[in-house]
Amino acid sequence: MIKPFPNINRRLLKDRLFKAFSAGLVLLILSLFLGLFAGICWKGLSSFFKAEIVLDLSFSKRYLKSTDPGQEQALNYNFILRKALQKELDVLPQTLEENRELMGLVSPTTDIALHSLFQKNPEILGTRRQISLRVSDNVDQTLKMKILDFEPANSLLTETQQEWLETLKDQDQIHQRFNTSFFTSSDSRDPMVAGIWAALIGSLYTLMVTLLISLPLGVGTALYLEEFASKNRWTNWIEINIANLAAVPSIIFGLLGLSIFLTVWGLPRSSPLVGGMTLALIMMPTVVVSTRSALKAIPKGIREGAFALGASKVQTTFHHVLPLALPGIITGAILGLARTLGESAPLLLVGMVAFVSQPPLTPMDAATVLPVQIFTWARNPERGFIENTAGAIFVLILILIGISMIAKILRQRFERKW
Amino acid sequence: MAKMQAQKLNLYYGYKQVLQDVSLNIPAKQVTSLIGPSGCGKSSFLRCLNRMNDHIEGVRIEGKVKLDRKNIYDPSADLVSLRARVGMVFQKPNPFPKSIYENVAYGPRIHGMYKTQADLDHIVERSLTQAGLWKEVKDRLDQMGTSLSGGQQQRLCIARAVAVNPEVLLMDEPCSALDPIATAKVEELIDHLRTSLSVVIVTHSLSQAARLSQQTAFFHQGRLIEASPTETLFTNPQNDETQKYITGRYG
Ligand SMILES: Nc1ncnc2c1ncn2[C@@H]1O[C@H](COP(=O)(O)OP(=O)(O)OP(=O)(O)O)[C@@H](O)[C@H]1O
Ligand SMILES: [Mg+2]
Repeated sequence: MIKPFPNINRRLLKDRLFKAFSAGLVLLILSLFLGLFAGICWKGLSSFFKAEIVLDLSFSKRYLKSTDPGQEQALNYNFILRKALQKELDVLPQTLEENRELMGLVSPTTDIALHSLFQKNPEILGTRRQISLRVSDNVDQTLKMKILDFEPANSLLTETQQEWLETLKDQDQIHQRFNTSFFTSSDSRDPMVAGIWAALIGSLYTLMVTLLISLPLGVGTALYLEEFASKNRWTNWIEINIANLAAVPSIIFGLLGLSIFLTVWGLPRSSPLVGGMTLALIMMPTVVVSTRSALKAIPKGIREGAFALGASKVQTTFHHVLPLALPGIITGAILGLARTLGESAPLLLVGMVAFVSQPPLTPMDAATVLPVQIFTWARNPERGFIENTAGAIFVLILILIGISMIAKILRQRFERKW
Repeated sequence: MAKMQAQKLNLYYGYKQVLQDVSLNIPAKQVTSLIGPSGCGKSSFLRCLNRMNDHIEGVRIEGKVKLDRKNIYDPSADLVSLRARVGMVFQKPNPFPKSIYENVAYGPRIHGMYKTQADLDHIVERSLTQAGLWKEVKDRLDQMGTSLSGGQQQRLCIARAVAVNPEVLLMDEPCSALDPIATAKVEELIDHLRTSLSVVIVTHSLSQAARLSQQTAFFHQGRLIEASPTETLFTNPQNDETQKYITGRYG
């Protein structure tokens, strides 16, 4: 007698093996991704906290640099600072070296911070105040390593500095604070006060330029090719080339931007305008391709129904076809946007890599963008910058997640409406 | 008098000829049915009557189609007014993914056929009533047209087509996706429409053609074999092919 299903067991086994294999792959990818994300979070989160030191500062009139009423008033902030530190730690440094050791406890940009404090509150002249100031990068890093119980081979601080630090900690003068200035201040030579504000604004301007150019151009191209152009060898050729453009390495577009927008057209270097135009070139193929597939997916009956009622081609396109394609177009635009938001190589070529300590006021000003800021920081040897790099990457990822969530909401909204 | 006249119509898809020398008169305020085996060119002929074939790549049309004695293929002819005068209902219901109200209102909107909102409301109500759908949907006009059942969708498409007051209504197998009850409703509706306009209907159901139409045209392999009053064609066909087809001895 013949058994009804001779190799059913083998088939079932193969089934199960395949399932286990795919599940394993998915798990692997998921854990890699989670690991990466957790790493960035861990490193990035520490950049959101920086140590501050509370000092009793005397803003005596004696420290005024100039008494001339015509001039802007300024104090000798470094002197004030040194006095306060000397008093606090009960030391009197003799040599230049010792002096530097003492001042090395606080951020080298403290004088700038104090000056802006003084300008905002001129009434502090002639008073004593308890002021919370940023410590230096080395102190901050040493504190963070202590928290992690991590003893580095060669310490960032001298022995004396470490003693001082212990004293200050014992007097409860050092606190970890949430680093709001990471979001509100711009690039600086000092990692303790460097922030991503200028890069955020630069990214915003750049993306706006990119969207304003690539969306109308891309959607228009796709509409023309799909709805209006007759299908012949020419349109076929254009189609293939646009699809190929999407695969061109982005640095090539940077070269194009450099040689045309900067050299031939003479547009301002390092500006969000040029950066945005360059990125628009990168984003356009994505928009065209996704718009076209959205248009292709619309049933023929919708177009015929409109035509049969006497709607013209333009009416049919704008009343029926385009609104129906909108969810697809939005998805494409968001995908393109996400790609351009993370793009840095082409922007380096059009000069967006400059040190930018102020957010751009217009799209014509020199600016940098988030990924380029990350790149610039990553080249610095200070530990504080490495930490900031992770913090900026964390913010970039959050923005990307935010964008894709907005895209999802928009898509659902439009899908329900139509 | 003939509302529409096709004269020596030839139609090619690329190099393939689909219609050969078709000449047919469409009488006013009557139902004309087009019958014939699959692929014989009924749909192609129907789509010539409102120039829907213009939207297909590679179509070439020779000959004339006259609407009230004016050639609709004349270079000076206006597509918009032609389509407003010659409406069409498709085989597969194709409501717009908009509200029921907007589906019906779309034609009047693009042709500017109303002055006030009340006018438009009136047109929508009249058209839906004509299509026998008003009672079923009057409380949910803002629902999506695509949320209706297949038969309701088809009647919505008919309402959409009659909303612009066409003089001729072309229907390509309008009942092929419907159950017998919905079919009966649509047939009743077509019979009613006949009082105000001319109807050309493609159908695979000989009984439907016999029930509904006053004139029947039999197509075969791209040629119009025979066209005569329905009763004559079904009882006393002049042509062998017709005879074979209507007695089911075909193919
Ligand atoms: N867009 C097109 N491109 C090329 N050939 C076509 C096209 N549409 C129809 N044809 C051909 O034209 C011929 C007639 O088609 P048509 O749709 O008019 O037939 P029909 O009589 O309506 O058939 P059915 O009863 O199955 O709907 C068929 O041979 C078909 O293959
Ligand atoms: Mg057909």
